[in-house]
This record gives sequence, C-alpha cells and structure tokens, in this order.
Amino acid sequence: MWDDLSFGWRCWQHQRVRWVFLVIAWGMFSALAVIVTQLTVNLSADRPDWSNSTDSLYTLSYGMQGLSVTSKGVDLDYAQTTSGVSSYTKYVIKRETLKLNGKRKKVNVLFYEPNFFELLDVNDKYAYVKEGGIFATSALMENTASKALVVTLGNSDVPVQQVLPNTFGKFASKSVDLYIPMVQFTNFAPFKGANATETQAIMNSIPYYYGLISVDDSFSVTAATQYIQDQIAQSGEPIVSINLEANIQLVSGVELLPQQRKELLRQLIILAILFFAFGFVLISNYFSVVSAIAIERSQELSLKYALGAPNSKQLVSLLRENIPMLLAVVTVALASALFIQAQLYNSDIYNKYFGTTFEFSWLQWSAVLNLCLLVMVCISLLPMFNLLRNSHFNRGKGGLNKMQRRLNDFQFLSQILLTLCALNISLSSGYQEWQKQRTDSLDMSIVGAEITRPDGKSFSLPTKWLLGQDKNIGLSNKALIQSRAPLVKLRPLGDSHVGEQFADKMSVTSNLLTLIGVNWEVFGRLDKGTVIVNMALAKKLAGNSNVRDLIGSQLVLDDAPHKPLVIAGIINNVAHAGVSLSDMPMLYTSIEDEKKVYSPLYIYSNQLISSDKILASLDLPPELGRIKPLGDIKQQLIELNKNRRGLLFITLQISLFIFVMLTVGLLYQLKTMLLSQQRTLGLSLAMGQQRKSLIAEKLFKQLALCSLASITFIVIMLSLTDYFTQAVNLDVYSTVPICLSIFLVVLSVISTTLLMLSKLTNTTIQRLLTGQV
Amino acid sequence: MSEILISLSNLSKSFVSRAGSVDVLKEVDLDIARGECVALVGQSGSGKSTLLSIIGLLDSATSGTYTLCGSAVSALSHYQLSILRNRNIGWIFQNFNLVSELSVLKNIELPMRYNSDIKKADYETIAMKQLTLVGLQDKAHSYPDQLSGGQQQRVAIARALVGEPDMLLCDEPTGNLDSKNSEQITDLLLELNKRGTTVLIVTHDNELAKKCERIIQISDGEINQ
Repeated sequence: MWDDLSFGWRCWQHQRVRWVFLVIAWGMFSALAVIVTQLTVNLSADRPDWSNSTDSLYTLSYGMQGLSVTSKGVDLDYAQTTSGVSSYTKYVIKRETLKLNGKRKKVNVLFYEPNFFELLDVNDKYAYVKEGGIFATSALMENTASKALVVTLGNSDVPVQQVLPNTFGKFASKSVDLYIPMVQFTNFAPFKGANATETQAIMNSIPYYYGLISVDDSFSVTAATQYIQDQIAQSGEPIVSINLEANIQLVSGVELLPQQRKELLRQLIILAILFFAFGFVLISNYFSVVSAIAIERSQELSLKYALGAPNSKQLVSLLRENIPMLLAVVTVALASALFIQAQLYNSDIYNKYFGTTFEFSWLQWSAVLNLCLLVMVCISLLPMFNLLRNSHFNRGKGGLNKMQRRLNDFQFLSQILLTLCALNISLSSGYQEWQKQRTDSLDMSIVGAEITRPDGKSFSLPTKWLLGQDKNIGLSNKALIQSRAPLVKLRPLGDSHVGEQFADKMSVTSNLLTLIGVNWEVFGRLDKGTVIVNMALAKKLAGNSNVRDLIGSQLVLDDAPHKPLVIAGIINNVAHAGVSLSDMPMLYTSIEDEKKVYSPLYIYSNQLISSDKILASLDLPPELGRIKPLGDIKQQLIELNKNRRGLLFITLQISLFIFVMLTVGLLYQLKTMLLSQQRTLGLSLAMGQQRKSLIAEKLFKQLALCSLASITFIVIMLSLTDYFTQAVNLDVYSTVPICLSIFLVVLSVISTTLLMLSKLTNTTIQRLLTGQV
Repeated sequence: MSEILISLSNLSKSFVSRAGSVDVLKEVDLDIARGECVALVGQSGSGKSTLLSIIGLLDSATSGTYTLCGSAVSALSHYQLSILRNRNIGWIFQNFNLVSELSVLKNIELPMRYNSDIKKADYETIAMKQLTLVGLQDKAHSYPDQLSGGQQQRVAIARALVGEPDMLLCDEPTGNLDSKNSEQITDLLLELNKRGTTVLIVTHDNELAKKCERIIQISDGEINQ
C-alpha cells in the first residue's frame, strides 16, 4: 500500500503541471456537480418537511408591488371556488416587532387559518397544531433563552402553547419563528373600511398574499388562472384589478416568491447545461491526458506484467496510486465549491430565495463528490485496462493502423465540437448577462430629486422644463429606480395577433431619455401623440416578428381608450424596476400631455442644482415644497447590478476553464497522436522532409478537422436556437459568442499543434526512431 | 539425461494483417533441459524475439504445444500464468526496463510484491542479497538515472533473480552496453548458469553466443540447431 502511495506521489512530483491540471479540472467539476445537485434538491422540495400530504398542492400568490388597497379593494378568495380545487387556505408571512416576555423583538410570523395544518396533513406526532394557538419554534426559544414565552398581541398577553421542532423553522423560502392564528392579524393590520374583507386588510399591509390549494386531477392551471383573473376584473377598482391580474402566480407546491424561483430555475438550468457541457469536455480532455499517460506508462505496466503481476494486483496498485490525487481533488473541490457558492450568494436572487433555506448537506455533498471521483477513477483506468490486456513491449513500434488513426481523428473532432458547444453556451450566457447589465446602467452621472407639495396642488412648471428645452434637466412623474408594477393595460391596434399586455407607464419630458443616456434600439421623438417603449414591452408586442416593425404602429392605453399613441422609438431596458430582476415592460409618454402635474415630481439632471433654485423655478415658496435628494442614479444602478453578477462571473470562469481544458487536452491529444505516429514522423524527417512542411501538413489537417467541427457546431446551434430560447431564454446563436468560441478554439488548435511539433528536433528524431519514449 | 524444462512441439505463431497471414514461427520443436545455457541467434525478423516472448509467457502460440516445468501452458489461466512468470521466469531486457520512479532497492523488490510466499519484512534482505551478488550493494538507494548502463543491467539481473527462477530469459542483454560492460554481464550470466539457473539468451553478439553451451539458429521462423 505504502509503496503504491509513494509511487503515486513520485509520479505527481515528476508531472506536476499535468496533475495540477487534472486536480483543478476535476475539483471544479465536482464542485459544480455538488452545487447543481444541492440547488436542484433545494428547489425540488415542494412542501415543508413536517407535511405528510401527498396531494397535489399549488400556491396562489398575488403581488401588489407595494401598492396599498383602499376599502373598495377586491375579494381575493376566488381560488376556493375554482374548478378542481378540493381545499383552500391562506396564510401570510410577515416580519413583525413583537413583545416577547415583555421585550420587543423582531420575529418572522406565519399567520395561518384554522385548516392550514390540516391541508398540509401535519405529521401525527405534531397533530396538536391542528387545534390552533400560538406556536414558537425551538430556535426562537433558544434565542430568547426562556422556557416559557408570552406574546403580547394588542392589549393582551398570550402564552405560547407549544414549542415546535426546528423543521417548523422554515416555510418555503422564508424562516418562521412564530405561528399565529390569522384572526390575530388585525392586531397588525388595522381594519380599514366598514365593508373590507379580511383579505383586504391583509393586502393593506403586505405586498404579497398567498393562498394554498389542494387540487384533484381535473385541475388546470390555465383555466384556474383565467377564472381568477376574470373574477378580479369584474370587481374592485380598475387599478387594483389590473395590478392583481398582472401579478397572479399559480405555481406547483408550497412556493413563495415565484418570480424569483422562475429566474432561479432559469439560472439553474443554465448552470446544469454548463455542468454537462463542462463534464463532456472534461471527460474528453481527461481521456486524452490519461491516454498519453497510459502510453508513457505502457513500458512500466508491461514490465510488471513480465515480472508476474496479475492484472488484479496491477489494478489495485493503480487505484492506490490515485489516492494522493483523490485527496487533492477533494480539497480543491471543497475549496472551489465554497468559492462558487459564495459567488452565487452574492447574486441577489440566491440571497432572496435561499437566504434562509439553502442547506449545505454533507450527505449530498459526499455522495456527489464520491460519484465524481468514481467517474474520474474509472476514466483514468480505461486506457490502462487496454494496456493490461496483453504484452505491450511491441506496442507502438508499428504505430497505429488506419482504423485507430481514424478513431484518433474522430476523438479530436468530437473534442473540438464539444468544446465549441460548451464554450458557446457558457459565453452566450455570460454575454447575455453582460449585455443586460450594460444596458441597465446609464452612460452618465445623473443626480435626482423628488419634489412633493404637501398642499396637494399641481406644480406650475416652467415651460422650457416641460418642453424639455433645458438640456440639463429632465422631469418625470415617477422615480427612475423604484419597485414597479404593470399597472397599465394596453392593446395594439391594427392586425396584430398579440392581445392585451400590461406595462408600467412613466410620463417624462422629451429630453429625459436622452439626458440619462439610454441605449436606443430605434431612436424616436416623444411628443403628445407618440410613445416610446422599452425592449421588454417591444418583444411582447412584436411576438415572433422583428421589434423594429413596431415603429409607426399604434397602441391604445386603457386609461385613454379614445387616444391611440404611435410607437415612435424603442429603447433597451433600463433597470427601473430596482431590485426586481425581471425586465419590466415599460412605456414612456410625454409629460406635456398631462393636464396638471401633481406631486411627487422627479427631477433628473447631469448637474447639481440647489433646492432653492428648483423651488424658485417651480414658483414655490420653501414651505410649500419638500425636496428629497435621490443621489447619484448611475451609482445606484451599479450597486443594483453588483448583486446580479454571480451567474456572469461563474459563466466567465467556466468559459475560461473550458478554454484552458481544451488547450491542455489538445496538447495531450496531439502528444498521444505524435507518440502513435512516432515512426512515421521520424522516418519522414530522417528521409529529408523539411520540418516546416511537416508542420504545415499537420496544421492543415488539424485546421481541416477544426473547420468541419465548426460547421457542425454552427448547424447544431442553429437547430437548437429555438429550444434554448424557449427553455432558458438564452440566445445560443448570437454572433459574438459564436465567433469568439470559434476564434478561441482555432487559436488553441494552432498554438498546441505548433507547440507540439516545434519539439521535433534532430535529437527527438533519433528518439522517435529508436522508440524510447 | 537432465530434466526437460521447456518443451515446444509443433509450435506456430502467425499474425494476420491486411496483406494476409504472416507465419512468424513455423512448427517449431525445441527442448531445453534444466541448467542449460542456450543462445538463440538469427537475423532481424527471424522470429527469435517472438519465440522468447512465447517461452516467457508474454505471448501465446497460434498452434502447437508448449510445456513448461511439466505443465501445458495453454491449459493455464491468466492468473496461473502470472504465478509461473513470477516464480519460474526471470526477464532481462536490452533496455534494462527499470522503473525510473523507484530506487534500485524498490526496483529489485518489485517482483516480490507479486509473490505472496515472500513476507514483506524479508523484501529488503532478499533484495540486498541479490544486489550484493551483482556487486551493487552501495547503490541500493540510488535511482536508475544515477547509474551507468552496465550498472542498470546488473540491477535488472538482480531483479530477475529475486524469485530464484528456474530460468533467465535474456533479450539482447548486452545490446546497449560497451564491450567492457558486455563482458562483465556475460560473465555474470554464465556464473549464474553454473549455479544451476537455466539461461536462454537472444543475441546478435557472436562472442556471447559462443560462450553458451548450445546455439540455436533461427531463420524465417524455423529452427536449425
């Protein structure tokens, strides 16, 4: 055992670069495997651990995007009358400051209805929760360091009835400290309006509301969504109805923040695709490296065979020799997994979704890692198996036969093809993220200010400001960065196949978009009869056709049905939605068209303007205007984007690593080919063929194979474009990543071929001919 | 008459290529007695190395019978063949075939690792005994690349001897050595033969062949004794 270990260590010492490459490659691969598996496992849990329910469950969430609902709000419990729903309950998760044992403390509270635990079929062990009451989790008890807990609700003190184990400490993506019956909710959200429902009371104080439904086989998500939308549309205030209709999410399982989950799933799928692509490239390259090692070790293995080593003992020795490398892989995998995980956590979406629920499981970790190591060991032994089969002293003397040479070419071709695909997917996702982040930021520094008028009257704006004639100042009726909701219903006129759409509307001065330096897809002038749309809305309106065809077409907004607006321009998305990661469909109308502009009014400028000057220009005495500076908008956008860079960094790292793997893999692939053709090459040189012509000949052959692989790659990407766009919203047929992938691969092929063949000197010719490799 | 150690009867070996079948060995009949010193000579491509590989159990015959120490080789499993190679045969190669990552001592210990009858505690003692026999006891902890060609070949001989094999199979043992080292290696092999080890040498070296008690000429796969 020790002899094999020390032999393995000596091999490591002799071939440090090669082993370091293998260790890092496998370490990264294992780390990626662990991350993808853990994210998948975390995402696949669709109900809490304490639930015994085997029913099909759906969560219905309504997003109010921070808007408050008046007493005329709508009833939201339509889900219980939907076809196919067998039971319905609702709950609210809210962070509240409560008095616990007389001390104020911030806790996460889940308000539940009486049938909540029944619907989820709580484990028999905890059946007492069905009877209702206030329950605390054991973590909260530990936190407060008390055996008994009294919660102050309104004017009364209520003792906690039961302490629940840690499994109750989380619900979907949120952590929970206390479970409180819904009837107590009015202590937190004051009842507004005589006829308001309980749901409206909830909606008055939280942006998200959740309904949980248990469904039978006849349930249809599309039909249910349509039914609920119709019910909402028929009641309540139009603005509330529009907002709710646009923000209904009906998702499988117990699920909070479905929008984030959707984005997270997209990122996970991209990561998984990258993982498989990375895996294929790694295995293909690793096989070349190990084949080269196997050829180099054939003499030693043959010797051991001649000395009487049975194959089984040789195999055991080979396995033992791998132990130092396996240990190194584990170390690298652990380090890189933690590194990748940390980068993912930097991404806002992971923080939001997994902040409390992502669990690092040693069991998953070790299972996946062991599987990766097993694959690695098996692959590393494959070429050795071939060598162990028979005597090998004569192997290589005659070189490879035609079939073997073809197989070598095929391996080279497939290696290039796989790398091109992997590199392109990785670069495409990186490029897309980069573009998104680039267009989200503004080109110049802009300072903003919010002006409010407490007396409720409209502003009297200077004409030159209103008409956008002052190049340094732009106005809008909404802040550039804020939480947004698609509040406006619109429909295209003419023979468009696209139906009604929802978007958020901003009224701006004609110079504002230019002032903040947005990127124009199609430049257009904003006036009373025109509208500018962003790319997110343009794509929705254009459907399958070119967004540029929208220019000149007309839109009708629900709030002004008799006044169609002509689409004059299209801009790339600006991160108006603030922390929301989805691209919000936006339309920009002219503020000139507003009869009166009421507060708040937003002023953006590329210069610092004093509050006094602003108020003076607005003809407002200081006591009638309040100015709140909004700071440097560009800086704020940069800060927002910082949180979105996890996937971008990872994809770029993977691209870089795929490239390095390709280069090293090709180097060894060529070395293997060279070893197998040593006699032919040596003879050609010995018989007077010039090195230059030999190199040119080989280079031409590799480039021909490379071209074949590139054409196949382009065809594959072209045929997969629709699939990738629909599945993960990833454009894999974008010119920049495609060209960059081909360029990198060709660069790698040329440099490795030249590097390997430049070693063919007179000294090596002799070695090639004597066969002493 | 001495006991027959190697007996080949009607042994043939052919390779199939696209050009057709090539007979490398043609119905070879050969007996080698225990304790003999035999030189196998012939031109390149005559089949002598193939014959040596078959005798050394590194290759198998296409047809015919090969009996080693009274056992028909074709009836043995891979595992049994490994045991025979380990305990009955010692190999010496033209290019020494020492493992560069292992020290001299570890190189010599290598065959013992495949012999379960030898205790691990005895490895070093046995290896040092053989190393002393070839006169390199002071080089035990050196590595192959620190030795001259002659020294490397002597290490290879020491390695071949650790299992106390019935026969030594030498494939051009002096092929990579200068005349002085060749002479020393030849003397060593003849000395081992005198001690009772059967030695079969494939060589182009006429001087070496003449020193053997029997010369077998092979040409075009046929033996002319």
